[in-house]
Amino acid sequence: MTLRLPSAAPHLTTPQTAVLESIAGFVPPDAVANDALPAAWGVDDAWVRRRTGIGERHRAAPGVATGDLALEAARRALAVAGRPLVDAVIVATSTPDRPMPAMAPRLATRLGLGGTAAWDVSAACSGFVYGLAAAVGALNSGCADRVLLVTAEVYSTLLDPRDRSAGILFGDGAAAVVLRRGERGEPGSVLALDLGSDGSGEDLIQVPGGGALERARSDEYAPDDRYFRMRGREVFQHAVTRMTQSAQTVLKRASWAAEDVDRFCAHQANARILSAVGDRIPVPPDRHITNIERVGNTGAASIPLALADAAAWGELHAGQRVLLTAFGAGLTWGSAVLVWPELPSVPRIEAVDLAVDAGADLVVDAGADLAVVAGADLAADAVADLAVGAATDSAVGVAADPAVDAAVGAVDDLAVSAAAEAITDAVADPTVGTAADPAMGAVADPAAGTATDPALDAHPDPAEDSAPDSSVQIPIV
Amino acid sequence: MSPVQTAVTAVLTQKFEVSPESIRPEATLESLDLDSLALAELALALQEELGVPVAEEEAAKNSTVGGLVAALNAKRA
Repeated sequence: MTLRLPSAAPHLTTPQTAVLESIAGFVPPDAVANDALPAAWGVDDAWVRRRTGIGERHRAAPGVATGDLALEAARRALAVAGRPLVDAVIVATSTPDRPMPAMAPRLATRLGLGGTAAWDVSAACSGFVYGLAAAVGALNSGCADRVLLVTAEVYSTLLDPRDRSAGILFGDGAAAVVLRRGERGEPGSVLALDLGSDGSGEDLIQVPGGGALERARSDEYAPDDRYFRMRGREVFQHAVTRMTQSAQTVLKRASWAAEDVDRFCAHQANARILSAVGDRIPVPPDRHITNIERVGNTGAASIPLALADAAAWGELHAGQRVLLTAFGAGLTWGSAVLVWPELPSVPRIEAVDLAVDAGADLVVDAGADLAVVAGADLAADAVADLAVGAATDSAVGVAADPAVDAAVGAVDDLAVSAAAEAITDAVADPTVGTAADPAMGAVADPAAGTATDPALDAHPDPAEDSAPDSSVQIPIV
Repeated sequence: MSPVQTAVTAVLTQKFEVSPESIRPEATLESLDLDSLALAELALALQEELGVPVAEEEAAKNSTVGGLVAALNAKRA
């Protein structure tokens, strides 16, 4: 293994950098527990947990692709941020919907952000950290004042059904952050970054076929080359070594000692890799942020998904010094440090939890381009004074729409809100933050507190179950 | 006990909780309940500890403790 020379890259010393304003994650509701994995793999729950630390992973429903998960995560993150004006959209993924075009322009348009700068970052499981660097660059260069960085993966479409080792690991999911230009040092600012790559390890993690190489030399490829392949043992060693070194480098750049790190969030590749990296940096296990047990390895989405999860559960607090580190195909790796900012309440990453736990109205609208609309009923929520809403129609979600501004103003005590043109009449009770575009056929009845779209037969009863529950099927993302 | 023998024993007992009495020269790594990830972890730990690369076939399922120690001793000689 070649060891990395000390980087000549300068410290991030510009006075301005990216500042985290919002985060949200999303996993599709279909969870596959270890016991539900294919019998042919000959694995049981204990076997999978011992090797990977994974208990279940989520799978996108048939027909649902990466862009759909990206859209949901993006909508949530924008809602958390209060639907600010965004002028650049970056998508980090290694499971894009198509080889061309990039995911970001389509996502921007679905969000009602057409016209903004939009591009993809391809750095596999390091995609979030590379995306952060891209965002810092776009903000510092003046290309953008506010960036939406979205990570999304549908790995299930790449997995060879006979490949047990990859099949137990990967899950589908998405997460997004909103970053604005701000002063280095203010809460939420990205204080230092470290990125690296080693193309000599290109074969260790790859999808060999499907690209120009296969088209140029078709006789060298078989249909199975369209599947994801990983050489686990070598990847383990590279992952541990690279993440450890990169984390130590970024700490040095930020002038932090390892013991200064309050929370450590590494790419959720495998629990044993995480503990091996944690031991070496070192960061004690009680400071690790991890959700691999519930979501598996979600590629580029894994770090922001784990952060969003921790934030939603109140396990990540303003002022904590956070170290992020990632490793992925390429090989690529990278690390970042920031001080966690005060954020509006972050929704749970499981769609159903979001509504059920908040005692909220859950409106599912099949006609709404795969949107989930969730609104928290403040009257029923003793804990938080916020509502989370997502407009069902991307065209409605543009903050520039004066009607939306007016509606938002009417509920300005809500930390998060999304509104449609007819919301003022529909929501007679200003404590209910559910927003829906009546044109889309979703009717939220604040008094009844239940979903009322007859087309969908989805009537989750908030009182029924407050535990995480995937039994309430949302027949979409 | 050679430094290599000491390192191998220490990693196996501390990191993988293998009982010291089962670490006999003829014992295969698989018989000590090391799965494929554990083999990768063992190789990395020995690499860091001893400063010599550990090849995949030197710390494989069927490698014996004695064989591993001999291979690493030869590299350090």
